[in-house]
Amino acid sequence: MLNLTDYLSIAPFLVIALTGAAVLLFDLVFPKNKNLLIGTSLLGIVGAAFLTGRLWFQYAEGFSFTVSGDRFALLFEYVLLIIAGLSVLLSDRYLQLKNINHGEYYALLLFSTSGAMLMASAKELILIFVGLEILSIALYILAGFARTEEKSEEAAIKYLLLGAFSSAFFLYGIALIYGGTGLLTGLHGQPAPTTQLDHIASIVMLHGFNAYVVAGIALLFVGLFFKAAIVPFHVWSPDVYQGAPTCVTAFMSAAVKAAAFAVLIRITETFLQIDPSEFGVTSDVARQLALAHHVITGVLWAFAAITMIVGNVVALWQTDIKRMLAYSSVAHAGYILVGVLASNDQGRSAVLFYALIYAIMNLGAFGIVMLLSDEKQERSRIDDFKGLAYKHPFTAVLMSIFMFSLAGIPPAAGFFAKLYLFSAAVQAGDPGIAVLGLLASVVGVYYYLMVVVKMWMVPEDRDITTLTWSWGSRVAVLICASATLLLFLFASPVISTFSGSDVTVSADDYSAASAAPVEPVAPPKALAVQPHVIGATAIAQR
Amino acid sequence: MVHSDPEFAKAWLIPALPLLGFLFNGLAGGLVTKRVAGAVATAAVFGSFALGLMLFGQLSGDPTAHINTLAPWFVVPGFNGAAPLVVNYEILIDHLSLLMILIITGVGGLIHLYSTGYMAADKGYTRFFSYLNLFIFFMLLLVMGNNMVLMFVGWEGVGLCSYLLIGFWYEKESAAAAALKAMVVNRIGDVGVLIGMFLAFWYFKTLDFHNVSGTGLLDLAANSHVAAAITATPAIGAAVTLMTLAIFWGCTGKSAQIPLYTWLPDAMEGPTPVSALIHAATMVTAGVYLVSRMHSLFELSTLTMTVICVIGMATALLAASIGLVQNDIKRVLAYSTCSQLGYMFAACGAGAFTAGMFHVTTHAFFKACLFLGSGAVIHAMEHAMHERHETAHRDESDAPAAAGGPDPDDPQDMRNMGGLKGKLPLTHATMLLSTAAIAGIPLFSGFFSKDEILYQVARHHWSLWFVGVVTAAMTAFYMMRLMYKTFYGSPKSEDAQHTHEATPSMTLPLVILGFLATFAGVLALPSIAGFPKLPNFFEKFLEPAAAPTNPGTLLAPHEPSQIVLLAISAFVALGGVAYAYYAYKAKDGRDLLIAPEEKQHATVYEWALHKWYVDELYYNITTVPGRWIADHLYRVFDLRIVDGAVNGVGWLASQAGALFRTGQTGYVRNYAFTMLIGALIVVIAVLAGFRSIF
Repeated sequence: MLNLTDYLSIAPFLVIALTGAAVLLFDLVFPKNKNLLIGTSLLGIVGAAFLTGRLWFQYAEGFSFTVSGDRFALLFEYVLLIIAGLSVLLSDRYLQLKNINHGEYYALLLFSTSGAMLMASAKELILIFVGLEILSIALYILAGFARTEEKSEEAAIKYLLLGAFSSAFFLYGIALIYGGTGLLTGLHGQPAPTTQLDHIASIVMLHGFNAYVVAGIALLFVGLFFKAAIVPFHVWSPDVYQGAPTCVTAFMSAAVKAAAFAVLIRITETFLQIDPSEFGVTSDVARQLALAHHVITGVLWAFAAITMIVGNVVALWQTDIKRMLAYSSVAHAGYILVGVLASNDQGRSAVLFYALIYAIMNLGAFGIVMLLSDEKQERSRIDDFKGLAYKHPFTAVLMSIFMFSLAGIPPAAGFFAKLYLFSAAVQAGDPGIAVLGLLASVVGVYYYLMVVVKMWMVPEDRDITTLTWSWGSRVAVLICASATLLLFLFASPVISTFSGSDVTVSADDYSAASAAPVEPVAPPKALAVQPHVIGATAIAQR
Repeated sequence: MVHSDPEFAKAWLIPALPLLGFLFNGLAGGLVTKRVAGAVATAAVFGSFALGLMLFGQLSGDPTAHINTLAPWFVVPGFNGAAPLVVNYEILIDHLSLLMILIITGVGGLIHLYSTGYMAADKGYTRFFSYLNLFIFFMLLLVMGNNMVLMFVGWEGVGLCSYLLIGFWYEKESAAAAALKAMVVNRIGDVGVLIGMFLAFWYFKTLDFHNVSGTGLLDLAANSHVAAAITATPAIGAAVTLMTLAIFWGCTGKSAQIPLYTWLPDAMEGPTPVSALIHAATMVTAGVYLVSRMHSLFELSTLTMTVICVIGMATALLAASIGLVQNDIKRVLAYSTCSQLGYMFAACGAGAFTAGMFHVTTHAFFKACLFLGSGAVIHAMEHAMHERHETAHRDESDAPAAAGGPDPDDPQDMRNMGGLKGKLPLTHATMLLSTAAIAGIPLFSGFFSKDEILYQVARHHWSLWFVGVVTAAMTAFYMMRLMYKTFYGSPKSEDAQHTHEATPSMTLPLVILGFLATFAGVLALPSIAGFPKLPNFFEKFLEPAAAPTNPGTLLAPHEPSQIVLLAISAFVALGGVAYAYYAYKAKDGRDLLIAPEEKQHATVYEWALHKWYVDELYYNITTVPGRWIADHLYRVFDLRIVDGAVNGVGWLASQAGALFRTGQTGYVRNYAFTMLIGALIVVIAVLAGFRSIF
């Protein structure tokens, strides 16, 4: 029986989805008034943010513990809402320019966001898959939103075909895990096969792994690697990023990545967070858990390394800024993977911090790219930035902030984002991947600063027309730029909010859960442990 | 003793006001009149000065250092339980930072006021004031930061502002080049500060100067047990030497010492108030501040202290000798600044940080006054030249000067001046007082501060003292030369006769600074054995912050007779000034070695001529081989090794990129195939990893 807690736990994405429906309706009634749609969307996003805030204080896990309200989920929901809000603001001028200013755009954006939010908070594989598909299907349409353009069409088809391909892997992974857990427990009859992550954790704790579960995990990784554009599953991203309308690319680069990493962390933590020293784990299972830790981090390590290297190196070659940012986003996915494989509190908070900052700086950069386009032509060559600073110094300053931040150079937040990720890896006892990441990001400095050099030091070779900002894009880009600087100045309060955002894996309450899911699990303690306090205790222990 | 104190909670406003001024002029400056923009900028700095005075009232007689933690900034956890790097927004209020605050905001405020007149006709007026305010903010951050990170942010920030302001007239190619040179040379120095910071954190596990638990860098260094442990362990002692030398390397860049001083004379391309504020009174003294701030660390290395002392004195001599022959009024002052900074470092190296900081103070007064005075002269000359061009368009008699002669349109060339005393009486009077101060004429402020330094270095080695005295003689000479060529004798150009005194907004700061330059000496009167003890307010004031904590590690001092040293200094100063006055009077302010046909009088100019050869020699010894070495380094090291490596990496990267790009065909089937391979790799890798359990 559904009760209030259930509704409360899904309230944020329910609101977003309903707002999307309302936008469709309003578009039908007031087809001329796009500002109304923007306003409605923003209102819905703010409302969802409120409800998310409510969940922060009133913990709720709904639908038989399949929808989590843990801080990790809520913080990711916030990040996704910020991405959605900024995307809504950024888009309208570009849509008008391309003559594709249809109301469906906002509805699809919101549907997509609700799917992403569902992914971030779902604790059940089928539900995660549903979220993934909601996110993806809306994006397939959005990628082809400029219907008259062949590029956009091509991008949509490619994304759809390859996305379907990867979804199949993901689904097959779920099936294998369901079957595998069934086999593990089948001899004893209880507990039943499951796709609930908590339950999977308890089954693994009791019985260890088998080949089906292991292969299932691998296939889940494949599906998520595709969404996060991890090498070699990134092949779609440059073509799709370049072909899709820029405002869609901006949203896609930030939101899909954030959602995919939220799920990736939740799944890895399911297996990595079980403490083998806890009650009644047989020595054989303990050995298997240690092995799982070894293998999962090993696989993530290898993919993080290759992704950072390939993303950065190939980005060097790009002449189109959307393609360059596509490869840059591949590289950034590699950095984030470093935080995932650290698999500690710091790693998780660093991933959250990075997802937030990456979204802000990347949306800002795409915002400026959109600004350069005019009616006649999409200006997305890097050479189109030549001499921008001579005509439009303020715009060039904003773009420089984003580029410096993406390159990880202070005083921009990208610096701390990277610092925290790599320091989490060092903290987890893996300085090698951190060094590799640093070296890879040195390569990155070249292509980001190339844009800055083109703006400030190369005279323009075309007539840069006046840039027409819409109020929305102006507000959004200014928010992005100031947030990029402010998050550098006030890194510590933000990161300490993020730290302690544990993924709750409650392996021990399987029986209680299957019996009667009435009592909500005790809210995770606000483990607002300041990292330096951790360090201090470590010293004390030493 | 360190206190964390809410009593000083308002202290953050001191840097915040100029920052707000910067934001106002930077964002809204285009919307308001020049008058408002200038007034806001000036008021912001004077507001900070008033707050500084309030702090002075609160702090007087209180020897403790006060820390005010405003907010956390970031924490980098340590590896394997090592100490984390905790960096907070923390300001440090003690007597040393307060002194710097008062100098920066006091002299800075006067220079802002002066600029409202000086820059009145400039089209970049609001831009200028926003940069100036930003500079003041960063400078305050530099001196108020309680950790090396904040200090370094300020350090880099003032470098940035210096760059922006030297290149303020960026249309002028020489200004843009000078700005770039300052930027590059300072970056070379800044690497040293960074290395020093790394070493400091590695060995001391903190970058805080002070903290309440007494484990800040300087708390530790001042702790006799720690100091003993450091000096007893050669490896750590060597590390401390390396650390302090690295930091001092940064100081030679910022404070224009050998070998990184070359940017400062070129920096005179900036507007004159900038030269006064940044390149004389405040930013260039940041190095002296830093050494004094970290003195308890520096004292742990005798080698570093000796190096500082020797470099300081060598710079003092070298720069003074170059200053003797310059014709550009601002370049004379620039070399003079290098030279005076050398004195300050020499004092620090001798362990007399108070003496160094006192010279920072008096120098801020008299050098700011001299620069602002020269600005008034240049301003007046510029106006006269402008009028000439307006009225007599293309006068035929206005022929280009003979080869080697002055450019008649250069308002900064002293060879176009002369006889300005009657035209600019107030400027002349204040500059004369400041000249007396810098030359070390008895009872003027510079006399006391310089003499204290000479006395302190004499305690360590007579040769250092001797170099100091020779430098003092040169200083007296070149300053009187500057005064004579500018203000006395006959006017050397038409324009010099048509100059006018500047507006009160420009002369008022001159008068105040001239007054301070004259009388600031009473703050620190020397105590001479055998005479009644005179009050030394300054030393007493700075004692808690700058008194040596480990005097035992310094060079062994001995006691020279201070009265004799005083007498020699006074004689040298008076002699130098008098000699210059009469020598130039005899030539009506023309230079001593300008015309070959006057070689028959060579006996009179022999000394100066010889100096000139030293200058040439210096050029040949350092610059030419420097270029040669640089050129060869460039050819061999840069082109072959560095570029080779860079190009090699680039080549590798591009080859790899090309390899990966070939996979990027655009065909979905190829992409799907790639993904399939990837999926197989993942599945096989995971299954292989788990094979032992199946």
